[in-house]
Amino acid sequence: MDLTQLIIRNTLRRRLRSLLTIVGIAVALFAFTMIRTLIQAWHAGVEASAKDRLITRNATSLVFYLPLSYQEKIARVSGVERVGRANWFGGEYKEERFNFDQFAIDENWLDVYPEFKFSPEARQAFLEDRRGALIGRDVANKYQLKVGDTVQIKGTIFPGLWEFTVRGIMEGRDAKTITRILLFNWDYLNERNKTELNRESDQPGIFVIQLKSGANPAVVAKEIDQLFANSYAETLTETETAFQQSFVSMSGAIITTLNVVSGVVVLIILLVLANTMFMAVRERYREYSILKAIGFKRRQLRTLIFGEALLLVSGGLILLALFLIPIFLLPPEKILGPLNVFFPIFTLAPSTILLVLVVATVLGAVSAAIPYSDIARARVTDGLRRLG
Amino acid sequence: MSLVFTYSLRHLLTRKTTAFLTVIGIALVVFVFVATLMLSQGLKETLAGTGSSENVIVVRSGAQNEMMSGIAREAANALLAEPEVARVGDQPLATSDSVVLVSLKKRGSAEPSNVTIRGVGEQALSVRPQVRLTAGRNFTPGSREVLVGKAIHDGFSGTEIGQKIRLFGTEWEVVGLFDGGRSAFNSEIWGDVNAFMPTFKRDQFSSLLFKLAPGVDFAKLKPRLENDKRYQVSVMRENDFYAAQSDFLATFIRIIGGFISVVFSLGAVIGAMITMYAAVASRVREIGILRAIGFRRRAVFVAFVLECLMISLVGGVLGVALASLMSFVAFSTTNFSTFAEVAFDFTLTPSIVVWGLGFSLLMGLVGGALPARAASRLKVLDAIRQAG
Amino acid sequence: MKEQDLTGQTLITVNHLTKSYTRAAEKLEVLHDVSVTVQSGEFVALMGPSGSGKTTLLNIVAGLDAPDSGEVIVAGEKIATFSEDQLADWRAQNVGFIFQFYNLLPVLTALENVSLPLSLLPMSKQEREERARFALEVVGLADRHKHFPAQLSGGQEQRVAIARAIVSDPKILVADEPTGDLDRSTATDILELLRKLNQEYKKTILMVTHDPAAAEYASRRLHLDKGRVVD
Repeated sequence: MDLTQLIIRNTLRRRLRSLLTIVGIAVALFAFTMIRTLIQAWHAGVEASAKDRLITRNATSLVFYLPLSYQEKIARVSGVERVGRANWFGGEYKEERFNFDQFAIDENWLDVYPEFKFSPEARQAFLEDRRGALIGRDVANKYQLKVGDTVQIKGTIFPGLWEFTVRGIMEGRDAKTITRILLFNWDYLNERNKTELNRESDQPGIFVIQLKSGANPAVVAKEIDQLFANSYAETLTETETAFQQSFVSMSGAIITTLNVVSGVVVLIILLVLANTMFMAVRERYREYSILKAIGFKRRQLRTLIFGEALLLVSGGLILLALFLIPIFLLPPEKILGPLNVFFPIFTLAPSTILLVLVVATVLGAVSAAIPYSDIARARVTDGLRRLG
Repeated sequence: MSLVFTYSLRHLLTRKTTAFLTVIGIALVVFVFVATLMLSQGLKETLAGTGSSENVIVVRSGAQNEMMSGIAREAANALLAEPEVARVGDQPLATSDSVVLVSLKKRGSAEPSNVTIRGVGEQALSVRPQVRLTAGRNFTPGSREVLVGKAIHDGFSGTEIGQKIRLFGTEWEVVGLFDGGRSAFNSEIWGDVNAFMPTFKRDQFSSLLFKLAPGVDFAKLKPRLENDKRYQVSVMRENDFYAAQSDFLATFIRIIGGFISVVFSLGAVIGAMITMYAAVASRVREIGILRAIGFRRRAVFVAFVLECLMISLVGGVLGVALASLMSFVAFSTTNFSTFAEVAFDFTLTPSIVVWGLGFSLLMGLVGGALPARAASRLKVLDAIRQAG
Repeated sequence: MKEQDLTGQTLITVNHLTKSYTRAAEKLEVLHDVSVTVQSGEFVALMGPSGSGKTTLLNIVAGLDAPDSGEVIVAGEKIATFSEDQLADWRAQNVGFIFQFYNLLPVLTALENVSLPLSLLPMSKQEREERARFALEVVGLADRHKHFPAQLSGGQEQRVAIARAIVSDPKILVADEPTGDLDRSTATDILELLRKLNQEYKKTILMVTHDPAAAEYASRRLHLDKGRVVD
């Protein structure tokens, strides 16, 4: 009988305990995986961002806008390929806010964001229709919208009822692109601001900038901000990645908490495993002593004990996989339920899988270490004296 | 039945390591559970505790928060002249506020946060009695002086009395500190609305706040004001308004906290089950003797459940004690609804302590039930024949 | 403890008892049509080779097991058809147990172990303690009442077990190889104690043993072989 067989037999001896341990590990690893995936999902905007795009906004805060005249000035800065403008609209659709991003944009914006793919006809139709809208694939699917349909949005920042006609559906370039988006013509927003709403007009919220290839983002950003320093509307220009990251950091406290919690999960796994290994070794103390008396070396004893821990961990991982596979085959809305508004993308990243594997293995080793060292050091005669 | 108690307790003490590991596992779960409840409670008390039910807040019709709301001066003056508004002398006991967000860097963080800047009227401190000046003095009307809320003072550098904050390209001097108790106002900076509005380049107020005149029926006042075409406003009790702004965040915390607690508790229950099954397995002979003497199956069941409850209760007390330490931790994050930074803390209430302990007992009950049942169902003769 | 002055009256009647077990899909008949009567105040040694059914008979009479068919009447009660709970209650009131080893609960002191059966009977805490102390005196271990089983020798453990067996003043004492694990001189002490309980206190004792020397202490020997009474 070789060691592997012995390891397996030992684990099967206390079938119920082994099963419970495996389930416990799987449950805790499940929590760990979901929390880490949630933290990852929080960074979806960062993941989708580009380092060669800059965002210029009012340095005071996003609540303040910028003069339209800035756009040409920015376009003339060296390193800038093109500049687009946008306003965050943030209206209510079907009585819910935050279902999808809504932006009022100009034509340049479409070229700054090539990851949204749609036909030239759709582009033409959109630009020609003042009240046209382009919607992302996610939105089209969720609300079963097709080209030609009307979308009615109740404005919150810009009050009133806003009706748009869908002129095109945009596909994302890859899985990272967030297609939970609706775009409409900036001119329409501006027009209504001027005529109906008596609000400040000619004020984009942000400028989106595409850099010429080879241009240094930090240098260009600084130059742009220099242009408007000491004016009433000072600007803050940063890479899109930094811009998205700042949103994530706004919930920094929550993310830290989640990180702490995922650490606690790891502890719990360790406790369950350590408990089991402790009991397993203790009840077989005499047996292990006999093995040593027969001539087993420490190395083999170590293989037995660590092997058992790793076998349990493997069982937990397999059970975990059985859980995770069906869950992550579902679309995010089904997984997250009401939380889906915050997280349009929710996928299991390979890095998370790797992390889980590493953590599980390390925990297995740690949980076996103390009971092993205990028996490794013990004298054979002491062990034999113990009953069972 | 004190003998049953003694029996269970003594057995616990003979298996110290295992019991200890299980206790820690339960303590961790209770800690996370109670901390989540404390966070929810803190959020509720802060945001829901903001504002008084005797005050009425007026925002533009359909606005979800003060930032996106706008009320013209003439409309504001006319509304505040309504009879239902309480008066001090011939002035309305009211404040017309202008609210914006400004990006400021937090202490010890590279990332900026959105701080609420509120331009207030002269009566601000009278209408909001929960806010008290704790140092320095009130701002001089018309000047570039500001008051800083406690949470902002604690969390952001450069906010001591005498220091200057740079806003909109100009410098504003901190002349006083205020404490808003457990309210969102603690996360704000206040200044004279007449000094701020030209700087914000706004000509409309964000909100009006007035105290109800004695004997006014709010239920009648609300539709009257909302239907008045001159105003185009939404009207709410001040505390209800702020409570509604915590909905998203509160839901978010509740869902994530709920998920974590449920999954964690499964892990802890499994840990307890493993421990108890082991306990039963090692005492089969003893159980046989007890049953032979005449103890009924139920007595055996109770003894083991009691043992598990003891473990879980100790774990529960430990978990609650650890969680109570979180009261010293300040939590500050961005409120999803307003985009503004809001500080709240972990609040422990007697009811939460009860929930925490109850939860631990529940875990002990569930974890101990199956093993205890197995113990009670052992056949007497089989049990006796076991050699120890 | 009252002297059982029912000496001479029939205490235990067993009629046409049969019992079989199924092991590995084979049916083993352990008792075949066994009928026995025991008078109050007897000290009966149940003897026979391994597999003779003596322990099974003891278990049935003690209410630990139920026969497949037949009658068991102890002190006027027909216990053969009692439910598990009824048997438990009945044992608490009528039977005292002495096993071969591991009699005592390791986490309880000698006094606590002895008072265990009393917690199943209605009486005050004070009365329980008095009776437990008295039982320990009878077996000569009153000074060890605070000791845990780990601190007692094998013989002392058995004596504490005997004290526990008599503390509730049961109608019968049942002992399964009580001296099997003890050396000769300790065994003698235990057997002397049992004889004393039988002769001075008139306790009815049923003892399973394969040791002829132990059987000498009994007033009557009952032999079983292959599930039948032989004589």
